[in-house]
Amino acid sequence: MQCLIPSQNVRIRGLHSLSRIGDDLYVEPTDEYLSFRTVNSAQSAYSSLVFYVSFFTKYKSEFNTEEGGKCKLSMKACLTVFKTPHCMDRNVDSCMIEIDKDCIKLIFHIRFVQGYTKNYFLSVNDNENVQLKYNKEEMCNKMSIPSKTLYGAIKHFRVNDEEITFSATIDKARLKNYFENIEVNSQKLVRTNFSLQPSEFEMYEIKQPGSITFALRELRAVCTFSELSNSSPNITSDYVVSTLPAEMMCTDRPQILCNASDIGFEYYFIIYTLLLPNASKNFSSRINLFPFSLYSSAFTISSGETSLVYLLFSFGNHAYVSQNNRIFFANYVQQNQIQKTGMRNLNNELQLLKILFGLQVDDVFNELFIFSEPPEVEAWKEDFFNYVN
Amino acid sequence: MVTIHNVLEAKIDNVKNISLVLKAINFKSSGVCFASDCGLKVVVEDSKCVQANAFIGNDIFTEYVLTDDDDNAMFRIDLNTLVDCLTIFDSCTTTPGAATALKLSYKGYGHPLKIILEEEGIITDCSLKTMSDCEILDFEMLDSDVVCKIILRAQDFREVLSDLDNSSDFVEFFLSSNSPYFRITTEGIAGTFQIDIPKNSNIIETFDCSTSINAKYRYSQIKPCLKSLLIASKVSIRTNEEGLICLQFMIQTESKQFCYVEYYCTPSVEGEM
Repeated sequence: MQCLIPSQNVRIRGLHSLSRIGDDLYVEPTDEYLSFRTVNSAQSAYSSLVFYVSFFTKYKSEFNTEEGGKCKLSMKACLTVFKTPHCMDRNVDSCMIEIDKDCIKLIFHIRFVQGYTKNYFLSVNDNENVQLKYNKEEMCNKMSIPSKTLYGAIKHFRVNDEEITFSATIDKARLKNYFENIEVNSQKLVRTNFSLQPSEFEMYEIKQPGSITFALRELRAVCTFSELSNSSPNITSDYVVSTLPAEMMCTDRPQILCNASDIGFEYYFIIYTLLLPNASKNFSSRINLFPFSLYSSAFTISSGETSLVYLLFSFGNHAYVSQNNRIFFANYVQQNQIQKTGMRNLNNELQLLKILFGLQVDDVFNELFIFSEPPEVEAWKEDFFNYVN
Repeated sequence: MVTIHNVLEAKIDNVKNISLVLKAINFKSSGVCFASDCGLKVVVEDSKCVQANAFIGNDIFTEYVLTDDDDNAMFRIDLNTLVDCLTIFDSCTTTPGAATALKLSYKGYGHPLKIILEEEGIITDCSLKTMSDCEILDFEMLDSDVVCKIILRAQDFREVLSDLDNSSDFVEFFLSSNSPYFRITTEGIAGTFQIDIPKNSNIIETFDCSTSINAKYRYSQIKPCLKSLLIASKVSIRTNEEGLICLQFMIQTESKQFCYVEYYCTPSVEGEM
């Protein structure tokens, strides 16, 4: 396999972005494209960078068999090739990537405008590849956001924020830092909430409002790529952030998919989201079977003073509060009481929820869900009631 | 009371002119100073295979008086301390363009090296003990022995060498009168890296090679010279038939004068690995 990349295309620092995810790099040349992929050690994030033939000045792949040409390399070794990207931006004339016939070496030939050449012979560790199956069409929520806006939102989060919750409703999207153990040191925690209006997105199609929690570090890696690739003017990097449809959500593996594409290449990025620990597995999968639209039947109480809307619904003597697309319920809260009491008294009830389920009161109040579809309450009520009992 | 006259007395307006050069060769803690009519020479050695010489010509100094014609004006000195003393005023001042003035004096064998530094009216007085072991290796490379000589622009050469694989134990230099002319190879954990600089590359000013030479040097021994490369404006690389390499760096001081650093390194013997 041999391919030649012109100087302006060398600037795309895809490898640097991939290196933020995994320690191994999988390279696969085919007749139509050359792909670089990586998956992190926890296997929660996967990233793929695909360069199509049009990206190269010259592209020739001689591997005919299915297995041919697949290489696994150490990411660290590959990065040494692009150790000084700033100096390379200015001086690189062209870059040639070569894989030898037996797939033992991956060779980078980098020609500089000053006339000298750097050749890197990287040893291939293994002849394997990773490929994640995903279907972009299946994803039900699609959003496209300019990378600058996303970066602007993310930079407000602190360096030690590990996870982030992204929630999307019809008229609002929110980013919020997520804490696994809210009870511990809750006083020291800094909560960050960032709201984005649909108008800030280039595309905003929400079919199933919901929220997902995932590692922030991995989203930052996407941002790195967009930030760097923005420096070359012919690239538009948008993100399609999508959550999988309901039936897939019950597997507890919702995903976020980001991609940026240009004529010559495509960049895919998949992060698996976390299963929230404060909902048991069965419970959450069960609940997720109910479409969100049904929640609209619930009793929504809003406080005029703070204009916070939260979702509360009840059956008989039980009250339920929704938080992040999962439902927490408490037998102790009486429906009538909630309707009668104001915000302050409600706090007491919510304190109970907190004790029962480790919820922070603020969490409940801060959640924002607005659902517009007409309810099919009765059937659902029955089903749900049976389940609870 | 008998006053002992200074064997060496030197003054300079801007100490940075020499402290930068001394810093560049300060890869070992001690060095030997030789004072001659032409100027000062500071020699640093490592494991009897590497030698760095810094030449500070007498024109760098505003005043340079050597009153002894014996061999007395040579001494070994702790280079770390000397560099620390010379840079004592560095980054202290906020006045732009402020320079530290220096006065060096040495009274001869057994006496300390006295340094007086002054900046904006503040004076630092240093006295450094000198040692008498002045034995150094003689890496003489006569012009007739030189088989290859290359002169390169330092700034570009720095970029070439900037990503030398530091996991590699050895650096291999291949010089030849035919293609690939000048090849630097390292073999590290990640793989083999090669840098080819053809004769007609515009970073090369002179390329003069009569035969092919292939020599391996320890990376740890080549590495110190990268420090000099950082401040140099031109580099000359010379080798003899045995593979002894001499890198000469032309360094422009802040006062636009030139100092020279010379760096000798012996090749590692085949089979040593």
